[in-house]
Amino acid sequence: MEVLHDAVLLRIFTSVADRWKMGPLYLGIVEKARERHLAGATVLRGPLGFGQSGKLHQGHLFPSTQDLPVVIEIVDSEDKINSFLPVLDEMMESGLVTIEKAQVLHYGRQRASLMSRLKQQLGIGTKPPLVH
Amino acid sequence: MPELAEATLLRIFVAENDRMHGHLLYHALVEKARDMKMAGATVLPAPVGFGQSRMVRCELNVDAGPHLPVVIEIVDTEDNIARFLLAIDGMIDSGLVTLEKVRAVFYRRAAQPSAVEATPLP
Repeated sequence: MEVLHDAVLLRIFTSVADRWKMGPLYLGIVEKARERHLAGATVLRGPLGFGQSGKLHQGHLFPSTQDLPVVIEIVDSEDKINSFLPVLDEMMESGLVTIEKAQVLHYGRQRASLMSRLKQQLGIGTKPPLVH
Repeated sequence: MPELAEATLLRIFVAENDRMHGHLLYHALVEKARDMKMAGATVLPAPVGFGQSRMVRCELNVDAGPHLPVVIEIVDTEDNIARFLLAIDGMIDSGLVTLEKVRAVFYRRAAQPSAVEATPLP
């Protein structure tokens, strides 16, 4: 992915217990995102939450029956995220998907020029160019 | 392409062991949200963080005490979030509350009407 100033943050709220095909849904989503060359995906696990059913999702004595909330975050260009939404639509049975605008400052080893624009705006760290 | 609706994301940053009337605050906030039939709530623990006190709380910093940060996230309509904020006024002693506009798709499994009644509060 090119470093974009204007990107979109996609967040998927689901449960560790939700399944897709043979495995957990959150893993399925991460794999699908990778297959489609999205910029990246992060899974965050929560100890407590509830959703549409009103049932509290919380830890259990037996790890095999865990039904904890899980959030998958993906940042990419609006086009890429939009093309991922129908794929997600096929996979989601219950849960929440949100989208918000995000500005990317750093991706991998690349730094978007927004950083230098910000520094200029604040008038800091503007080193004079090296003279050879 | 699924249909996206306008919604509001509420995030509440507090300490994991903040308490209200002896109950964990984050638990009380989730229960309040559930009582008010909000669309949902998710608690996300953080391994490191700091707030107004400037003290860095992390799992390894024993001196800072057991005050790890925790974020409670709720996505719902703007009006429902406003109602919720009025209802929790006074519950948060120290912390941070933020609001963001988001676009959302709510995936709802076919109704299971008995699910709420069947799960007593712990």
